[in-house]
Amino acid sequence: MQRAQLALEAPLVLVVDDTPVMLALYGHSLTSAGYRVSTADNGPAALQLLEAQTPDLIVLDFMMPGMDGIEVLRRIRTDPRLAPIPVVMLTASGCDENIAQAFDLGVTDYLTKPIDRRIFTARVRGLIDGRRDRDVAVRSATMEREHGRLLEEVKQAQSVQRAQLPTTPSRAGRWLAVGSLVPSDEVGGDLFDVVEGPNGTRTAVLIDVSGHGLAAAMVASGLRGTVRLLLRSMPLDRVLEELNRQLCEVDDGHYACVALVQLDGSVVTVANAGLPPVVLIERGREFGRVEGGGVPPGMLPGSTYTMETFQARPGTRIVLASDGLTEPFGHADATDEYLLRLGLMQPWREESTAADTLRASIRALFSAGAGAQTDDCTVLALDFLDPIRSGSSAVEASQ
Amino acid sequence: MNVRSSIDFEEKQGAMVVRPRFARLDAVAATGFRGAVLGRVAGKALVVMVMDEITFVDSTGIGCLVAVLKAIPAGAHVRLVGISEAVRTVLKLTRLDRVFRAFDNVDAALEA
Repeated sequence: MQRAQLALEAPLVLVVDDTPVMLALYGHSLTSAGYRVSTADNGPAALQLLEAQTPDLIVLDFMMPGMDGIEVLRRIRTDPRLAPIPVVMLTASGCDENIAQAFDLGVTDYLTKPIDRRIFTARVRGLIDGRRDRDVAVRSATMEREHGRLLEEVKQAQSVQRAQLPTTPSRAGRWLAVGSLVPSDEVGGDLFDVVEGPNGTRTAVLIDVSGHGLAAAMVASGLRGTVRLLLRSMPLDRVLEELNRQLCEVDDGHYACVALVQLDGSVVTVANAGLPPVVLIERGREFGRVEGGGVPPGMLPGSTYTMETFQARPGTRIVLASDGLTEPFGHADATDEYLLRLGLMQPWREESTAADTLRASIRALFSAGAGAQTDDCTVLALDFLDPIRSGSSAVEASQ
Repeated sequence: MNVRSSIDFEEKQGAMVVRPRFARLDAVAATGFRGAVLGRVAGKALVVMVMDEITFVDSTGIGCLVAVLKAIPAGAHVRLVGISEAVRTVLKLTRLDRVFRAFDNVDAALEA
């Protein structure tokens, strides 16, 4: 079986010579060297063989009765399929004119009779290997160019995705938002947003699209725009219903875990569809959580969603996170570990650098024993500040 | 691993019992899983997915379970057997625990 397979893969050489003895000799030399050989004892027979096969090399006798080697060469070189095949012409010694004529027609090389068997085989090997090396080089160069192009496109997609993230820390009224997204690849399906609404409301958004990479990133980007639009005119539960309707309509296999937290003064409304629990923290302790209130949009048509509303007090912190921060600690709802390790149970030491600190803490998680990062990690913390600390009600974004 | 050839199918009491024989139902296994399973469950009123060898399901894996649900007629059921605590938690977070009921064994899933 193995030998047969090797025989199938060995290069094919077509030998054309009107002398049966020479044909047998060349054939034997090439077969012994591991090549497959087909033979023809005249020009028309050779051309007929070439209609059915494409050899890796053609050995062509110059002097043949009827159609000579030059005519066969001319026909080979004018056929687009056959033209690239190397051709070695066998000529009698002293026939420089024949050799010149052959080169004019595009012969690759020539050998002068009488031909040494070893030189013959070596010349054939050199031409076949050289052609294969060139083909490999051309393919490698093409693949390298394509690879470079794709990498560049991914980098650009990464820039686009980063530009869509809001700058934090950012303040509006008495609310301070600090968020960070650390993707596991160049681009991914996580994103967060803070959307200004009518009458001074603000809605924090966290989206985690199923899957990874460019496709998930594209879906997430589209959802960001859709959510921004829908928030202008709908309550949170209806926003999720509409997202579900649109995603189910597309039905490309993607769905999105989404949490929406609307801030209207001290009134907070939360709708969570599939993300880990939204955690409510006060004075260093968790005092509540909002679990999933519906199937993630894009999964099941007709899904409905619930919302929960509560009153924030000065010092209340609300934390949203994607499951990239909970799964490494055993379960998708394991919030304690990431809250503790990212320092989210305590107020920010330095507000202006809070987002950078958060990002660094996320990265440190995975270098300190949570294993390799295999999913995007996104967290958004919303602090309800006391009136003295909140200062001006104008929106400020730190540099 | 060839996912398609790592899934056992058994018709039992009119239901299709599907048993993946690999540990991770994730983005890598998803295409093979869908290709192998969706056609075999089409038209079935009940699919029992035995997941006792599966230790990890990511978002794409959950999507595969939903795809199985969508591949069967309206009103038909997908029931799960032998799910791990981690999978149970994900189903709870996504409220799919109400859609995919979990059982201790195949017989219980068939008789419910």
